Amino acid sequence: MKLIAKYDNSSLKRYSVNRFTKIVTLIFSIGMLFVSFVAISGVSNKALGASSTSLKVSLVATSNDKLSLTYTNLEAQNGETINFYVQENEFSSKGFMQIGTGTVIGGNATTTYNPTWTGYEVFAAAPTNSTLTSSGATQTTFDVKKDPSGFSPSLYNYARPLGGVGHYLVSVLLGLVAIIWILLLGIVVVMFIRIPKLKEN
Amino acid sequence: MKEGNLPMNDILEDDIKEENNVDWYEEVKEASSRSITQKPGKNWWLLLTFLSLVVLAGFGAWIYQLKHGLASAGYNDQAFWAVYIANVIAFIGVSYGGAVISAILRITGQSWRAPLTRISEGMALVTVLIGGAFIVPHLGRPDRILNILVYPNVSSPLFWDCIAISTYILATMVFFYLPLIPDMAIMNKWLGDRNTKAKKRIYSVLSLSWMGSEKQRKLLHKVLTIVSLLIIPLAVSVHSVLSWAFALTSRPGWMESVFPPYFVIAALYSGTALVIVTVAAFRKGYKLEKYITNRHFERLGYLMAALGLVYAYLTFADLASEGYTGITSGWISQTLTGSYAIPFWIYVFAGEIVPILLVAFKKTRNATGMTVAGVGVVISLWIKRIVIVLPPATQPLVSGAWGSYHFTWVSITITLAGVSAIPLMLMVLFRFIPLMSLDEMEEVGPIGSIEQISTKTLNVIRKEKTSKTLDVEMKELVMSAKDSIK
Repeated sequence: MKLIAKYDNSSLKRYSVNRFTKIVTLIFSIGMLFVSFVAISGVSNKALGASSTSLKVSLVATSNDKLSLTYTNLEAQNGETINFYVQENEFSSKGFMQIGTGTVIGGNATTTYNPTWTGYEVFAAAPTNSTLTSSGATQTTFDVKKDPSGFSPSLYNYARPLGGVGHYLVSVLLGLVAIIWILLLGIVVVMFIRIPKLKEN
Repeated sequence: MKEGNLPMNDILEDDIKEENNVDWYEEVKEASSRSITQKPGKNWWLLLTFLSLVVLAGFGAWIYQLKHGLASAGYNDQAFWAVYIANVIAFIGVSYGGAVISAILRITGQSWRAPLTRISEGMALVTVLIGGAFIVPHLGRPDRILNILVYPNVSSPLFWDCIAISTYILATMVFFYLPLIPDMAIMNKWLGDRNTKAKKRIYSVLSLSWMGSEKQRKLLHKVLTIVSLLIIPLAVSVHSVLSWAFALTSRPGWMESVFPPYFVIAALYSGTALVIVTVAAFRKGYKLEKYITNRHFERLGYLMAALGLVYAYLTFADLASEGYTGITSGWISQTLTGSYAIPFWIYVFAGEIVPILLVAFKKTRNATGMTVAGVGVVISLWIKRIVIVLPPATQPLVSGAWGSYHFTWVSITITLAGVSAIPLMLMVLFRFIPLMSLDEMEEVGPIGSIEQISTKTLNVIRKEKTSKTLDVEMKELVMSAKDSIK
């Protein structure tokens, strides 16, 4: 009995240790699981943002002045609309201005943009109805070298009549304007000098 | 006061007789200085306060626009030029009308211009300043305005716009100041002790010790003729260059060879109309009916109607030539039957048909009728400028989708501020200067200021006046000599 009792006690002891260990292990496991889950989800989100969502800006090969903006997100669904933005800086207030939209096909959405400023421009992209700080949004910076206007006279190769006289014409016109200014201001000066003198006559 | 056409000999005789009537000239001085001498009434202060508040609201709206961009004024990718450039054209246009009408009447020796020139020149000065100021909200970024001069692009009409407008502003200021020289002297003497010290000092500085001697008159007459001759081609160049800012673009509806004369005539037409409205307002406000009669309005009405007919013809020529080819005429459909049809037909009705009918009928050819016509022309010509700017601006060149422009509270407030600034600045300006050109009124006499008199008659009057002025001066000299002996 004693043995048995001993055995029982020992078994009970073993049992109780095992039970305690199991409970602690269970709590620890659940805790670890929770921590891991949180950690893993954070890591996976980070990984998603870093690797699967991106914005690539490049020159359009055929035009050499337009930009091609490609948004990549492997988790984006086909047919989803992506808005593209460029950062504007007007009177010390910054903000993103929409420059186009693209539809996701195979995780990619593309748009083209005619830049109007040179230098480093910040571009952004985000799915419609989501903000630029949401998980699906992304930004990048691109150094724009050319800022073509919508109209290029060089497309028309006709020689302009009297094209060569341009410089002389500008000088003549500016000279004419200068004469008018001198004449008008001269009249006022003459009046200021002559009128008081003429009263003596 | 005599009205209708009088035989020249009668006018000569009567005019000289009346010219010697000192009472009439004293009355003219009293009437011209009412804006200076009379204490402003309750209505004057109320109007001043109201106009000032509208102008202040305009400044507030502009600051809001600076913060939120041109989109807050309704601008967008497709309506990149809109209400502000229309305001620039409209305001500088009316200024041109005021200055050129005054200059043409001066050069051609129209004696009846005398009671009108000061108000029309004042209107020209004020509107060109306001019109020039509208370039600031139009550009959107005031910090870039200086770049036009610092980094000039001489092949751009915008650079030449800047040059032309600034030259025209200078010419308008000189043109406004020169006839003021004798008036400042006359007012200084006439007001005497009623004048404040500050005003006295300003008047004596601006009058340049004017005594009205023959040589002074000859010099003033000479320089005024030069400036009058100069201001006409200057004004033509300003409006031509303004039109080229549109016509030299590759946009259908703007790339029109008819644009320079189209703009110049529109300016003259609306300018004459605003001269009528401004003169009528000051005539009513300061009770100048004795000096500014129905005959003045009748003549200005004829001028306005003639210009209106030329403008109607140019509008037709503009629409017909491009509309016939039909290649790029989407803007014409928009103008005649599309989104801009209502404003366009308002212009046709209120800016052409009604004014011409009002001038055509004898019953309505009076101050009231011409003022109604003038108001119609001024408003509808502003609407017409909007119709010139917007349909071609919003015409799609690539996509096929028409753009649209919607007025916002910002653009409306800034525009109303510009409109209010005209009467506001005129009210303040005429608190310091006489309403009519005293020297010219004295020169042409009571009949000459209403009816046209010949140059020969005018020369006789001038001689009379010069000798009279000298007589007065001699008497004054003798009196002062006597005083000093005493």
